[in-house]
Amino acid sequence: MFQHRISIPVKAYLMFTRKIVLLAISILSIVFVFSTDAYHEWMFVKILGPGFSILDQIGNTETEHRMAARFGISYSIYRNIRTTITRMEPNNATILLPPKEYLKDRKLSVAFEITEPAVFYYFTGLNGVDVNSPDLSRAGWAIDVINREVGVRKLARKEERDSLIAIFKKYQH
Amino acid sequence: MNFAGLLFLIFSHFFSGKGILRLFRIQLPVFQQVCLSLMIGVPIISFAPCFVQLLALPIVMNTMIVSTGIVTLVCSLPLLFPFRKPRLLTFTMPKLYEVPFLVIIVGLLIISAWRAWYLPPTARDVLSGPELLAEYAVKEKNMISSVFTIDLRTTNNYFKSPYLTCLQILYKILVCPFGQLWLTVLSTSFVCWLYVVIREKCHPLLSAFIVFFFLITPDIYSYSFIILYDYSNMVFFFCGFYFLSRFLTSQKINELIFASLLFGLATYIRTETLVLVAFIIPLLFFYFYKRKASLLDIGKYSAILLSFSSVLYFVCIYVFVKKFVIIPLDIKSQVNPNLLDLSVLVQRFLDMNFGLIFSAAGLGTFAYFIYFFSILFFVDLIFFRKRYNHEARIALYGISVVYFGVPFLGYLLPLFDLGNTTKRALFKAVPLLVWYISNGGLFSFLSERINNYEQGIIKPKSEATPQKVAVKVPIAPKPKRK
Repeated sequence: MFQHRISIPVKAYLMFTRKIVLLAISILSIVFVFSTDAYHEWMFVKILGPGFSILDQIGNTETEHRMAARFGISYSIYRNIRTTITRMEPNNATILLPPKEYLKDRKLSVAFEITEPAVFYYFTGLNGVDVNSPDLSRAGWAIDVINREVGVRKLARKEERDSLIAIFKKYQH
Repeated sequence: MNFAGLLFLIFSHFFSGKGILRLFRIQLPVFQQVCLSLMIGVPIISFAPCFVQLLALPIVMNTMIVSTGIVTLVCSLPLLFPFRKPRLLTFTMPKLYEVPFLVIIVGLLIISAWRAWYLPPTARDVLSGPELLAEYAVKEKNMISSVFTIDLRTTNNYFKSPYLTCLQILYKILVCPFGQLWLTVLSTSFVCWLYVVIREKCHPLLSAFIVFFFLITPDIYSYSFIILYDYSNMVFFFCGFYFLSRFLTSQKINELIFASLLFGLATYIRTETLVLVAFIIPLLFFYFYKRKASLLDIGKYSAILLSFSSVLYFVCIYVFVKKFVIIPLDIKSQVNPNLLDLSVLVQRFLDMNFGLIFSAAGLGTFAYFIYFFSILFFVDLIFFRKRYNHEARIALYGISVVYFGVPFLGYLLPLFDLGNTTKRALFKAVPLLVWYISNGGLFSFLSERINNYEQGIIKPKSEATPQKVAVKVPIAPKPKRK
């Protein structure tokens, strides 16, 4: 009965206020969701966090910069290794990759992480082998640690290679 | 970035997908058609580089454009035939109270698209498999590249479906060096389609909330810009269930065949999905047995449901992987040799529940989504059991297929590890949870209430409590005293 008596502008006004109430509910529910721990951390650290600002990224769109930004110092070191080796041995260089535990034990000054041969090939275009590889005898270079710094060394003699492999094998689980 | 290349590929996805929809005579509102066409077009176009490789042609820009064009033309041939357009609901503009959710949804989709373009492929499974193969296929103009000369003992990711490799090849050659933008096409179309589909089922405020809640599921959002198989697999597995549900309502055989195609695409993306599709067969048996259908008919429906998955599994493993990966694949060596030991299955099931879903790790992966679903499920079970509709039951069955099927896959395939493969395989359940929630008792009750409130409809008491009114009506007026 009451509904029939109200005029059209009043009805529209009431409809509008109800929509405003629903709008308030939607805003409050969003605020509530993002005030919970899991979503708050996800939104304000992983999505809108300082390291992921689109405005900063717009200024650096070069492919190599984006690769380095994503994969960190390890990628930059891999690229330096590639430059060094291809300059000295342009064709078919095979690089011996140390085990993770070996690098951990050497207490590196940078957060370098060794990768598997497939990913090493993706980053560098160079053939990497680990100590369990059947192609170990082809290794002419090795990634090693000198004074807590990562670098490459040439394995000129068989004895030199075998002794390094023996050291690496101690760390291979 | 090559915008012309991107536009060409988006049109290819759209027209090939639209052609497939027309082929199966799938009737959908316009907006849903656009989204679904784009989604289906993504795996369809991924076949183009496969054909180029099978024909031993070089993988260069010209062959990619021509092969994509041919695949698009062939798939869009059904568009040439006249089709009586049905009267369908058109897309309605969002309401004022949906805007806050839509702003966040659109914002997150933009961030996802940006990251897909800006960041390089990151996941280890991609870098040691499909991305590596795609990068060197582009460099060496051949999918059988120098990658197979290096030490690949530490990975088996090159044995996976060519879906990701081929899309990466196409997008690297035609769009940008990191490829990946196909995932943006897929994820954006999927979120928009899901939103529209859910909006048909419950009040716009609730549908906006639930899609927003789905989108902010941390790992699912991350995989909308980090390329891997699981997001795409989740999309097509859910679409398959959606159209299966439509078939069980309408009994239109074209919808069953289309659902089969969608499950087939999910299998083409992740081949072990075939096992989960087989787990859907009991649903058909139960459903049609109750409706007194003949066993022959039930068998026919089951065969249709499994057909595309089986064919695409065969094509993927015995044609694509065999032809494109020169290292032989020994499937037997990947299967658990001791299948009689069921303790592995039980252990995996327990680990999945207490080490993955209901754990700190699960909180990082799904945040509160699973808990939210669990609460709603129990509320529905206790208070709104009578409001369960057909779709809610099918969604529950789908959730069960994933919930029991994924640990079964872990038991069947020892390489199906808990922390990575099982976790990502569980993504398939999340859109089904959304589908269940939007069709569940509590949400339909709330939808009705919010709708009444918004329209200013006040239910008369007689309608709300008919028994009380029935008691009140016979009361006679008191006689007047003189």
